[in-house]
Order: sequence, then C-alpha cells, then structure tokens
Amino acid sequence: MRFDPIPESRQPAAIDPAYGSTLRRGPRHPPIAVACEAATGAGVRFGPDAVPPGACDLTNRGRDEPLGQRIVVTGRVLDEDGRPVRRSLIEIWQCNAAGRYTHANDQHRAPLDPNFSGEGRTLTDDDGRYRFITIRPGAYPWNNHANAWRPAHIHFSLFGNVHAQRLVTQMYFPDDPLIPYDAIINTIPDEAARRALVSRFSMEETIADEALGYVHDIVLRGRGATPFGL
Amino acid sequence: MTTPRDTVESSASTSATAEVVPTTIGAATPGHTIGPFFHDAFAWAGTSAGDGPAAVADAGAGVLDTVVGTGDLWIEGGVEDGTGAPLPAWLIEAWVPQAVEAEAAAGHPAPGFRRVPNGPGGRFGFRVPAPAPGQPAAFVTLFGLGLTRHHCTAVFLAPEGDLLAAVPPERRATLVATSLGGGRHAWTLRTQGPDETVFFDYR
Repeated sequence: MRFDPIPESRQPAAIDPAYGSTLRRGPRHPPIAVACEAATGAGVRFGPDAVPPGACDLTNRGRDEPLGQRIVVTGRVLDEDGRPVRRSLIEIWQCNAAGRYTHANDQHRAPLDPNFSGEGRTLTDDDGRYRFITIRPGAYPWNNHANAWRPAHIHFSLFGNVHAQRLVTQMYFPDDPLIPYDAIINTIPDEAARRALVSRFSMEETIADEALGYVHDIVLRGRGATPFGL
Repeated sequence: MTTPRDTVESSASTSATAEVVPTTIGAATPGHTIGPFFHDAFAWAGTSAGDGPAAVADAGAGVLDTVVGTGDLWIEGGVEDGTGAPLPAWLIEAWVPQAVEAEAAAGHPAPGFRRVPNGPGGRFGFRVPAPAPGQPAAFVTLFGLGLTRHHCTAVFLAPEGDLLAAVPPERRATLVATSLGGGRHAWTLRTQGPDETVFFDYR
C-alpha cells in the first residue's frame, strides 16, 4: 500500500503544554519518512482463536446485566481510498457507567461493576463493518489540571491489514459537554480531525426496547490496496 | 443524508484542490494516547514479559513463547523519558516478519507478533529469530501514557540496511542493540533527549 503524509494539523501534537505528561515524553524530532515494504505490504494475521464468540458483546461477562445505558457501537473501517478494511482486528476498552476501569491502578472513587470488565474485540467483515454491544461509559476525573474530566470515551485499537496501518485512538459521544475542555482531544489542532473522533447517534442502529445506537467510522492510513487489502 | 463523517470528508476534499478525489475519500482518523488502562483488553495476545526484572534477567527462560514469541535471540531493554526516568506501564509491540512462517506452523495465535507491556521499572523483553542481513530484528511500535499517539521504530542487531541508511549517521546508534552475549541484546528506547530514539513514518 501507499502511505501519504498526514498533515500535522490532523495529528495530535507530540508535546502540548496543556497536556502535562507530554512535556518530557513527546518526541522532539519528527518521524523520518522512509519506504519500507515490510511495514506497508504485510502485517500480523491473527489466527482463528483470536476472536472467540461473544467477544464483541461487553454486556455478557457477568451473571447479571451490567449497570448503565446499553448501547450499540457500529461502523466501518475504511482506508484513505474509502475501501473497506476487511477481516481486521479491533480491540476496545472502556470504563464502566460510573467512570471506573477494572484496572488495579484506577483508584477513582466510583464503584466497580461486577458484571462489567470493559474489554472486547471483533473482526471487521467483508464490508469493513464492526459492531459492539456495550454500555455507555461514564466521565471521570484525572489529574492533568484542576477540575479536569475526561469526556466519556471508548478506546479503540485497530490493526488494519498491514503493519503501518496500526492505530490506537478514542471514540467520543455526540453532544458531550466535556469535549471542548479535554486536553487530550485538544492536542489535535484541526477541528474537523477532532470531530472525526466523535460518533453520531443513529436511530437506525438503535434497537427497540434494548439499546441506543451510535455509528463511528474509522479511516486507517493507506491507499492503493490490492484486493487482498495489502 | 448529511452526517458528521460526510462533513469531515467534504472539508478534506475541498482542501485537496490539485487532484480529483472520489466521493468516498477519507482523511485518516487521528490517533490518541493509549492511556494507562489497556492491559486487560490486550492480555489475550500476551502480557507480562516486561513485568519483572527476573523475566528479563533470565533472558526469557520460563516465559511462554505465546507471550514473547519464538527465536534464539532475546531483546531486552527499557523505555525512558527525556530525563532518563523510566516510563513504566507503557506498551511495546514488535512485528517480526522472519518469525511468521514458523510460528504460524506452530499454531501461535498471532504469528510474528509480540505484545509486551513494560514493568514497573520500564523494562521489557521479547524473542526474535535472527533477521536477514540488512533487515531489522523487529519493527517496534511504542505506546504510552503521555505519548499522544503511537510511534514506529525498529531495532537492528548490526548497523546496516536501507532503513538505517535513511537515518542521519549521528542518530543511527539509537536503533542498534548491544550484544550482551548468549543471544541477549540490550536496547533502550528514549522518547526525548540527546539520544532520542529515531521514529519512522513508513511510506
């Protein structure tokens, strides 16, 4: 595949004084552009055991239903030509409805939910489509600055079909009042690029009596894929 | 129907005035920091080879192949910030093309892939088979809290090859591991400072 440069304004800045952890951690040199067939023409292929049945439903892990608003999160994974990225792995993770991760290092004073672990994965289909069932995550405070809160978000990890398509990002919810205050999304200078991280509500994907629907398409880098996605 | 996605695409298209763009063209979705809480979601594809100095000091002995991969060589090291302080609970992923065939035949769930969250001291380790001359031992992707998106790099066992040739000579050493003998190699990633690791944008 071919990988064109991404405008700097469409990527998060490596160092942003408003996001304190970046000051000593963000690289100061820009990455070096280099042709590399091993990275742009091949990538990890996961075996059939990578995604067990039910791994896309985050609400089925306990004996009882998890607390919170049940939602569908679905969309398509496309490349920069708009072609579907087929049979590619997506992993997601998130906090529970109260804003607490099951992770041992999360000490936010909010309850754990014994019926929600907050992780799932799936493969895109031949149309690049994916679909998760989960609950809407809560907002939670963090120590970046005084009264800092993360907007509700779901972490996405995508592998694409070649190594250079790897992407880890976050999905936000429409009309979340915290988004304009968030130091993490604001590391991205371009407003349209920030908006690309916000899902949209969909009545078509909403399931009667069961779950609200959100649609979120993701564009991975890369053009000129072969029919095999390479 | 107008959707936020359509809006993004049309604004990207109008800026590309010099070329005819198909209506389905998209601009790549921006990355974000991985944050501190990825471990449970990633555990199925391997964890823990970075969790202890013991695992590193043992050069992989006793660590499951499905976690750190196969191969006679072992690459171990740390991740440091601009002051030399370790960056613990970060994630190293390694893409090892020369390991794919054998690991696929052995039924590994992710042939050629290693995923190693580093330990409390920022240390990590993984196995590789010997690379072909001029090729990196592994293509490495670095993720971490405070890294606003992932960064791609590569580790070499010898200072040769096309990828290294693209790097200014004074920075090449940041990509070359040091042999410790017995197949062990030491390699430290530094996100800032005079020895900042070289990161690549593959084209």
